[in-house]
Amino acid sequence: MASVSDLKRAIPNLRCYSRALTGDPGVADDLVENCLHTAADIFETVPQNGVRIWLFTMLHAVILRNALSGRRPRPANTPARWPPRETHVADSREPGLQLAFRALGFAQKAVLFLMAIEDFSDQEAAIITRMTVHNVRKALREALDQLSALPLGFVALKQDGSA
Amino acid sequence: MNKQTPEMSRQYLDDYVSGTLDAANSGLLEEYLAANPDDALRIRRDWAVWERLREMFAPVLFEPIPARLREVLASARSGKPRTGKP
Repeated sequence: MASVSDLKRAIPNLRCYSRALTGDPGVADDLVENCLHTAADIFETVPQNGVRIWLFTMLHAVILRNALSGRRPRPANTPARWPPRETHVADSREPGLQLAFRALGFAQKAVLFLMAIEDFSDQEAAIITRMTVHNVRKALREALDQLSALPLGFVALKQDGSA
Repeated sequence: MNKQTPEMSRQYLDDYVSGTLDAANSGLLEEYLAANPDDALRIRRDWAVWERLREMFAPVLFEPIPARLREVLASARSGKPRTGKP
């Protein structure tokens, strides 16, 4: 069964996913905290080999619920932070990519992140996002089409495909 | 793999990009790509996006974990009742 160590090990990835979808580090951590509170109650019932997908599924639901409610989460004992800070997922070497990623639809961002960053399969991404595999594939293709069309250095490939 | 079916090709291309295409079909797809430079270019572009995204998000993975998140797990480990749950 899952242990506290399994939860702790997943935190950086959960924070990253939450930040990718919310675009705000403070909100992202609030949502991860909400998720961890729930996880901490029941993690001992979850098989260790399923803890990662379980945590992402739970966090995705928390993020989606927050997005649909259109308001910031406010865990107890957490001081308000306003205005929300802009996300900085990296330095600004590729602001175009960062902006384009943020401009993707919610499902596109989620699927692209889960598959490209977390190496989940399309079936696993479908479980986490509660989408069909067909729609996961569609969202991935749409996301890649939009990002690969960017006028960035990395798409300046020669016709033979070399950089 | 049916090389003549555009929809199938597209699915296989996406599976190849995500690394989920099996070895046998990957071999067939690589033959197909050798004869279809436009699709080969598209795959390289997709891979480039994939890699740049990993680079973009990597710093977040190495940030220190905020104390409030560690505390949630500390209370779970100790078995103490947690009062911070919203």
